[in-house]
Amino acid sequence: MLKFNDVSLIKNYRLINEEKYFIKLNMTFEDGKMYLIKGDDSKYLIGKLIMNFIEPTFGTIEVLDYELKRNRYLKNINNLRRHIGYLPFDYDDKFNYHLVNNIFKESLYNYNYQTEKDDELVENIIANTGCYLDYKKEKLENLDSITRYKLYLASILIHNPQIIIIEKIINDEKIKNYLEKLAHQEGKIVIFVGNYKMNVDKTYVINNYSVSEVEE
Amino acid sequence: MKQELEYIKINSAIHKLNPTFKILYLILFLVICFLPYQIDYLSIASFIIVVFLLISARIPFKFYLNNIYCLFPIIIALFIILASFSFTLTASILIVLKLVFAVCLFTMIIYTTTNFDLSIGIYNLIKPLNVLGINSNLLFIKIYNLISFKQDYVFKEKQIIEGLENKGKNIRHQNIISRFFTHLDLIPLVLKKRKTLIQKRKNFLLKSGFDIETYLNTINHKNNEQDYSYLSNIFQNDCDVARCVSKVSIWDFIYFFAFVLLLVIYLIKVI
Repeated sequence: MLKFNDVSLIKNYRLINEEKYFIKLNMTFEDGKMYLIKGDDSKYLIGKLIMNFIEPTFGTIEVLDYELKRNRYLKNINNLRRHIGYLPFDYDDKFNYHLVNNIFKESLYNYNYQTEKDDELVENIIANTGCYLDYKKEKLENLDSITRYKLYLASILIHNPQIIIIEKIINDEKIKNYLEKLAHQEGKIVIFVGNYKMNVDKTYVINNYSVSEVEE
Repeated sequence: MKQELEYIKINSAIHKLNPTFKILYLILFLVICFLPYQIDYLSIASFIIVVFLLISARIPFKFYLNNIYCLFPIIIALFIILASFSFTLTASILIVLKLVFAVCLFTMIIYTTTNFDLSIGIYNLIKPLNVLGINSNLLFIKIYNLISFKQDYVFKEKQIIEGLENKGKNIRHQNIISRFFTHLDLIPLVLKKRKTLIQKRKNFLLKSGFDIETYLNTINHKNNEQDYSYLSNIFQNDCDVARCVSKVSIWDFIYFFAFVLLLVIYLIKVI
């Protein structure tokens, strides 16, 4: 369960160069459903708020058993982030790897998630997302953009997150089916962010600092 | 919250001034204040012009005070050194004030001018000195890259840290010493990424047929304005502001002549 309670995000609050992004945003994301967030550029801040890269100015975000709010210090933030798989739209600039193997293993070891079964997990996720390659030897610079996308997507799904946020979508049936399976059969929350046309359970539109919902 | 030393997008008279003139004000202020054979009332007159500029900029004074506060130990040390040696107390206070006002004027220019405008300002000033005949586009891009170093570095470092945190590395929630060493570790990677950004910017500009001289000539004539919307991709919307501020207004000349007048009085008095 993921819930935004009256979340406001204002940069430089009460200063002359104040910038508003959201005012009193209320959204609820239920387990086992797929969501789409459309609207202006501020929609890309939703993922950052959930990952606690930025803090809301007002209001609270309930993520699983955690409550995120301003100046709330979480002692072990990784316990929260382990349950979230977040693929930002500028993933190619954000992730820096040489070997494909590291993309998968890094998050497994940082989150200390089933490290004894690491090879099995990698092979499993590679089969599910359809990015077939010799992951132990392959270098990232030799791969095309679609394979890279699949790799990054597979790498955020490898530690079995409960909330999946994807800011870039490609037209690939296998990936769509796998994400649908994750949502409807395994009870994950899948959130797509971007102005796409998709079959989802609910669509939120963020415009002029506020949100409106569209039932599919 | 502490305000970063960067452009603040508000509507003020100083925001609309020509960037070349703003840099000239700083140079003239430094010349008037730090020339030999000081005349006190001329320095005080230049302070008044600076105060007028600061008020017109509509930037809260606490922003300037924050920057001065960072230099506080230097200012105090300078004051003690000056007062304990050959200078009188009044002369020491005046020298410290000159430093403070110079810092204020410098930060005001940063707060009211985008990196793109500032680059245009510096480009216009050093263009006559380009005796080696360096390509004007390359010269402009180099100035821009130099000025936006901090902005690019912070942007790239933020991207990398977010990528690492996304993969379970805990950086922002570490203690201050660990954070310091992580930032230190990241320097080579950030510089490498910044280099890619610069190359991308350079390639895009040169391939798109951008010519700084044509740009400067056309933005000053509204009827002959070309479409430079593609520039916003690489200069983060800086160029939208550059369109209006590259013109020279009457206020540019008023402030300029005020400083020049002080300089002329100084020269007459000295000679």
